[in-house]
Amino acid sequence: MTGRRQFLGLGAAAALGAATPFRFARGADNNTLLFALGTYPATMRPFASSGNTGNGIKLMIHRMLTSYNAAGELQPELATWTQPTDTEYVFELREAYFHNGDPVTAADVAYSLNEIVGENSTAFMKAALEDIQKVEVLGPRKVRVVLKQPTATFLDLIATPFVPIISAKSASAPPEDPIGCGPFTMANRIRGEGFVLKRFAKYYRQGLPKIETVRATFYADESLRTAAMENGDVDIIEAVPWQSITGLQGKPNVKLELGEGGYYYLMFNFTTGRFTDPRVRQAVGFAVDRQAVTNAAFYGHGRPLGGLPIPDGPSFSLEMAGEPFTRDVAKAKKLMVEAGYANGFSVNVPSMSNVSAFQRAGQVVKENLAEIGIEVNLVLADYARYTTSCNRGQYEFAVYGATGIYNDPDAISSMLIGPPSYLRSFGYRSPRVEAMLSKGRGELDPTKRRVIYADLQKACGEEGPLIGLSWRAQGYATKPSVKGFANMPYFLSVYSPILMESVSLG
Amino acid sequence: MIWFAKRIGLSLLLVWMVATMAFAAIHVVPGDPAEIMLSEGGFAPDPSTVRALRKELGLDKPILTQYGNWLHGVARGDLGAALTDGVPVSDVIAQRLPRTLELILAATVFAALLGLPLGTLAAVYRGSVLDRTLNAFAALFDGMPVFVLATVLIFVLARQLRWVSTGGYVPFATDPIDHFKLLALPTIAVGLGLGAVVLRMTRAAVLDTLMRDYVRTARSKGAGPLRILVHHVLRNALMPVVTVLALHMGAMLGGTVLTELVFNWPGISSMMIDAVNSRDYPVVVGTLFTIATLFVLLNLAVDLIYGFLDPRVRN
Repeated sequence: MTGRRQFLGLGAAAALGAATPFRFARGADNNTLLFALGTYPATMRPFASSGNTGNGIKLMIHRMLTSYNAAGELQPELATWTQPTDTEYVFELREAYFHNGDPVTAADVAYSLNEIVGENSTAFMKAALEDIQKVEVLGPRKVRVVLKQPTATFLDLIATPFVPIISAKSASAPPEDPIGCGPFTMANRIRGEGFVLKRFAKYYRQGLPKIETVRATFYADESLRTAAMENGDVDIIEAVPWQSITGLQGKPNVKLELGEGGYYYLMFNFTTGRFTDPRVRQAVGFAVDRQAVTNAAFYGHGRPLGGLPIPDGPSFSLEMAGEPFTRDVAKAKKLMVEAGYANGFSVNVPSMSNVSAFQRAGQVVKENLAEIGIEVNLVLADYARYTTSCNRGQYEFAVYGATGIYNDPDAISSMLIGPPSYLRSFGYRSPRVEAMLSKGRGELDPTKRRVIYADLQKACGEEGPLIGLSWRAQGYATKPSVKGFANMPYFLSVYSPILMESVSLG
Repeated sequence: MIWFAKRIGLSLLLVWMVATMAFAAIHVVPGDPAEIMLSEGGFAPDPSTVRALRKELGLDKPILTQYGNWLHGVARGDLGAALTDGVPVSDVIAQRLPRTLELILAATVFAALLGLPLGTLAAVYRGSVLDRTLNAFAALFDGMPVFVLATVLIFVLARQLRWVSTGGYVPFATDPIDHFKLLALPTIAVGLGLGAVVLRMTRAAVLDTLMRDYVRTARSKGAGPLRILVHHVLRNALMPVVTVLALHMGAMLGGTVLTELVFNWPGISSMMIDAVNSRDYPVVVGTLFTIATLFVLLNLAVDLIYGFLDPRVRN
């Protein structure tokens, strides 16, 4: 065979090899977990909110003093605690190490908490943890936190991914790369694309994590994310799109882990316009068909919400509280007449252009309100514009969606009372509701708290600062071979990546 | 020499104007980067925290001061740092731009390999079944939106046949084979549409050239059909086709957004969308500035070459 023929033969073989169809399924590597992300977090600063995705990643590289288990129960994490008085917590740290090899000390805990509550802090939890009066180092692994007043939710607050314990040496590290002590280290952060996390050998739980590597890749298109799951290209996807849930149910190669992790609601401007009248807000509350909203926005993967978005638990019982709003068009019309709007009116309602579920929910609300004479014009804006204009109160009422930061009823506080925010009704002030929230937060007895939050639900039904529309399904899809992963209940759903330390690929 | 200097001066002015317009435009669009950063995940940010972050990011300064600082930075070759994570904008662009350029180049080569021979065949067999079929295919792919084509490709090649992955990106250095396998679908999605354009352009240009006198002369002198086609027709017919290809390559710099999104190809277009959504001013302005500079440099190079080759242009 001549050289030329050999060359041509080799070339043809190479071309054939490259063109030969092959199955692009992952190799038999049980030590690398492929995780498809729904967004790429804008920031990984330890004390900022990095969005659901970023917070999930943080829960793999950081640890807090307390945490939640798979059932959503509060548990000791980096530390056990005692509570000598209602306003004092003493934490005893376990033997743990940061990713740079240094031991986790009380000084690091004090550093982390003080960074959050410090004067120039931009931490997400700064306001929520303002009840911290001081943090005292009692020993190398012992620290006392003194609160200004009893706070039933303090241990919940510090279990969130916004309060990680990082090394005091992080002060001299890049802000986006603090030194954590979680089960995985950040091996590579590829901007806009994803993360490579590696097993931390000195993690304090023996034998964990079970896998060596987590490759988390951002899939901007949710259909592609789902297709990647179905195709077996990835092991886990987060934020399963509602339109894909039915299609994925029953597929042998996909396991769904879903719960009610968030909710949609109506909020109002309390400072100007027709909705300053509580009767008009109530009329809207009675006019809306919540099942239709659930069907349209979430393809039926949710549940109507006629009251405050508070998960059932030790401190709240829906059965006791009841829901103030169910669809009653006649009652809604009567309230409109009483408010002096028998002929109705038209109103511009902002909606987010890049989240189709908002538009679908808005369309249902629009159709429902037409029945009581309110003509709704949906005004589309992108997330940035929507956020900024709603923070400034440039609306009369709006449809929005959110989640809580923990499952305690007090999570509703930030949705009702506080400075102007795109998340809550603009200009709403209510001494009655504020007193109830304060009482609920300071009360440590769950039975008494149930009564308080049942009263709160009733009060909010009368005043209408937040009128619920629908719980929405939220969660993950995994391959059946993924063991040890679960969707945590309600608002903790987005914290489920904390369980990644126990995940194995079998 | 004066003409060359004028062209260069005009190009610099154009780049400055584009940069200024980009800076003004993104700052005029409603939406506060600090608020957006602190609103991540649907949680309410505290206004005092928003103020503190604005100060930290330098967004509390007057707009003209911010503009002056940015221009000063650009003059020193510094495009600033991303607001969201502090990464230098030049690093971000250096990471993403080559991927988009690679996709554009691959799609252009694919389109040329597809469109040139098929367009020539269609012209040579004008009016035949082959010609009509190729024309129909060209019309189909030319008119088909890229996201429809992309979805069909994913469904057929990735989901049903499982020849390739649904999407993603693997650096060439990590795994060259996977890199090209993942490049294949977006290349086909972009290249099919462009290939249809090339096919039609080639067909028209070849038909036009086939009727020229010099082709008839060559034929009368006894030259074979293949020789006429290759040496006399294609050489002359290719000029407008190459021009169209070059124009499309430029347009694709900002036009691969959907392709990058659908195939999870992390290029500069998808990065721009993220930056606009988060109002990351330095990234948006820096990227637009870079793309504009590339355009202007390309045009300048073409102008200078034209001027060099044809003295009439200089007048």
